[in-house]
Amino acid sequence: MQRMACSFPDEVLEHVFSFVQCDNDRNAISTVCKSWYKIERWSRRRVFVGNCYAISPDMVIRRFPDVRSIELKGKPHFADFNLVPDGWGGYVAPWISAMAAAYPWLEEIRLKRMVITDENLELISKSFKNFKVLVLSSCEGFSTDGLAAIAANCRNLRELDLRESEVEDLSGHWLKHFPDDYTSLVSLNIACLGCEVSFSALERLVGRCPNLRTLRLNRAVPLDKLANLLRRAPQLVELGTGAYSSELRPDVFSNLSGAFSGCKELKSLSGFWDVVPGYLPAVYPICCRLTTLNLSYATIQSPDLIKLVGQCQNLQRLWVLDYIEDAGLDAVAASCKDLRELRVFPSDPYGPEPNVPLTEQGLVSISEGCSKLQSVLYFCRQMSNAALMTIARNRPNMTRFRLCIIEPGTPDYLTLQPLDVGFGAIVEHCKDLQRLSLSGLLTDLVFEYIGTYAKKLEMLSVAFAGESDLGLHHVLSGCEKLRKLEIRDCPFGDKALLANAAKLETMRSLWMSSCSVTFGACKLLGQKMPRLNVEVIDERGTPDSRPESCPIDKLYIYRTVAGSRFDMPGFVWTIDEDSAMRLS
Amino acid sequence: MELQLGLALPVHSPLKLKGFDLNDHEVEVLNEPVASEPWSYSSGCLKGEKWVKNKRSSEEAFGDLPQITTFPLTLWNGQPNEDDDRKGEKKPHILDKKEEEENHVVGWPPIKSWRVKQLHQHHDHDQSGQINNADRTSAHHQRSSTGTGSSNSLYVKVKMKGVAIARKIDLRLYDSYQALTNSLITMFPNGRQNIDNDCASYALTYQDKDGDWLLAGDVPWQTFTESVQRLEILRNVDG
Repeated sequence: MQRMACSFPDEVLEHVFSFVQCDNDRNAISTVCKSWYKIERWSRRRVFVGNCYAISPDMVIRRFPDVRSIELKGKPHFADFNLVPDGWGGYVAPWISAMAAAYPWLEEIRLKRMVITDENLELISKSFKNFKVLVLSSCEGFSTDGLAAIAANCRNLRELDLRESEVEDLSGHWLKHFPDDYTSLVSLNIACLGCEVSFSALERLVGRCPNLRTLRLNRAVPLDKLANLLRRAPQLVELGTGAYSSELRPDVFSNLSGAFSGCKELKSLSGFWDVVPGYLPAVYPICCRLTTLNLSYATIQSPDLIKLVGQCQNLQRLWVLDYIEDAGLDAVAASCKDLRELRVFPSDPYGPEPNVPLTEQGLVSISEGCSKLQSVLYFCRQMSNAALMTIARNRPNMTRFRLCIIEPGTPDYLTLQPLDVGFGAIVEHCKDLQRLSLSGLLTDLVFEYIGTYAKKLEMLSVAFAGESDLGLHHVLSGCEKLRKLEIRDCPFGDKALLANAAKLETMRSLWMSSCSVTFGACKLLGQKMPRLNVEVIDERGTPDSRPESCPIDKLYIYRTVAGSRFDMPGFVWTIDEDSAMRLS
Repeated sequence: MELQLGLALPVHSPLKLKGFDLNDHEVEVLNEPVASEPWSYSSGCLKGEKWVKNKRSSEEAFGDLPQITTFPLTLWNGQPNEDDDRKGEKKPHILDKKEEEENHVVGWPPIKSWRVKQLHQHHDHDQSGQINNADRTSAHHQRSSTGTGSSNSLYVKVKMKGVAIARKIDLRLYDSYQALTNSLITMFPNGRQNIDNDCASYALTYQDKDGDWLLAGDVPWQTFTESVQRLEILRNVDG
């Protein structure tokens, strides 16, 4: 093998490697021999860093000198639900400044849950000569001024996607900063912006970019402007509408309907804020082509939803509010035979009582009718083991199953038993399950099922479940592929954590909040496992001021080759080798 | 009734670790292969007798955790509306608010904060009646009757010097500086201890639209609510 490999000139190998896109495959290539390592290193164009504190920017740059595309993730996933205090970290600044010096030809930056400032955005806009893609997903720390810098300076920008970022709206005029001769835009997502954007600038921008495929507007763009935009960009493939409400007028309706009909490529619709149902039929002409429909911000009642989804026979991905009700999901099951992903969000998550008839039955219907279903996120208020077992038997091809029964600790409503057996059936039947979220009344038994059957599970979210350390132990010792584990309000403590310390080095991260882990165990773990950063997050003050046996508030453990981070706020303590020695 | 600031409710009592002595066992525990003595765990044992046994044990556990099932979750967007306030005159509305905050579990159900914000806006739009449509009124009424919709909520962040956890409050629930300060003081731990003392030992400052920090109370309440971006409570040194 060695001789064979060496018989090819480097250029040939490099060309062969260029067909290998998957990170894992490229990693495997780099371990074959020194020569392959070298060739792979110089030809690696895309790098994904799942935790910005797991490695330093300098180490990435040393290893891969000619990267064109980087993806970085910052805060833990539970930050989405306000469990990570403000100011925890995830600052992109050190990465941007290091890359600005090392990667002048960087084209793409994708960030998730990171803090990026206007200065960082300005540096990006001025440092990379051929910058093309900026995706900021659930990021914060910047304003429309930073976006103006990107618009003004990135002449080759193809994609600007702000996903669910928190942007400070200083001015709607930032869109005007795209130069008049700028025409390269392919994708623009500004759905998260709160304030009005300059509409004339938007209209001109959309009109002069012939390759625009994705346009997701924000709520401030009124319905009466939509038809005009669509006529300027009939080539759109993905559209997010703005507010979808207006006084019902036949001329407005027919204008809009005509504009939609002209968009022959449209495959994805979202937005529909403040929807007026009378205008929904305007999209009927294009429904049969739709593969993605996100109505999760649209308060549409069940009868209107049923009429709409009934037309969408080719739908693959559907996100809706629970206004769809069981009856609506029956209709989806009957008409959307190609459905792969379903998300049902609660319209009134904090209400004490159900406000709509949406139960486990809706999900059972979907599992019966949609044979390609792979991914589920489902919020509801009642569930039964029988339903979960039916779903598991119907859909063994499921890879992502996230069920949230809104009231913590809810038992099977038929038998009042824990839901262990039901979730057990899910992990037993769905052999390729990669992601699982648990809810409802659960004992340690469910974790025994998970440890025994969920051999491909990569991410597990647990809340208000389990009885003892045994539960956590089953998961850590059984789930071989587990990369991310997040736990809140479970009675899991030191024993399970310490007994599986070595396992933590094989995972990306472990989050535990309001559990039973003590500061003493954290110190021990930090001391014994130098490759782990053990972060104790406690806004009540230093954990040293309480007895070591006192459970800590929040714990975030991740493997790293970069050592301790330097940007910790006052409420985070890391336990590295030295400090553990000193403290013990 | 004590306010628990930003902490999840202690659903489970802290686990008692029977004689787990870190100093004695540290090396052992860490060096032992996974799944060793405390549990003598053998994999693939979910069938037959074990199944039955486990089922029984889970039933026992169910008995241990009754408080979970009756866990009260109230709305954080369901501030008492003005009608409620008038009805319950004996009970100052700050109490209602306290109860809600106390019962609300941070981050549960797991909905992205961004989505929660959108949800609020939905409700706001419903309430302000900007959209008149017969089809929607049923949903609208449903929600107002459960008290979920607050009219045009105006959330601002409040910090107190020396307190790590900030709060978010809805200014629309207050009609005067006095009502606001009275409420704020009970929200922060230091304030609670000193509640009998004079409110004057605190100064309420706010950042206005231009980013300037000003002392609250100098402009009419209405003007204040239109301009305020965030609040900070300072303790007067002589207070």
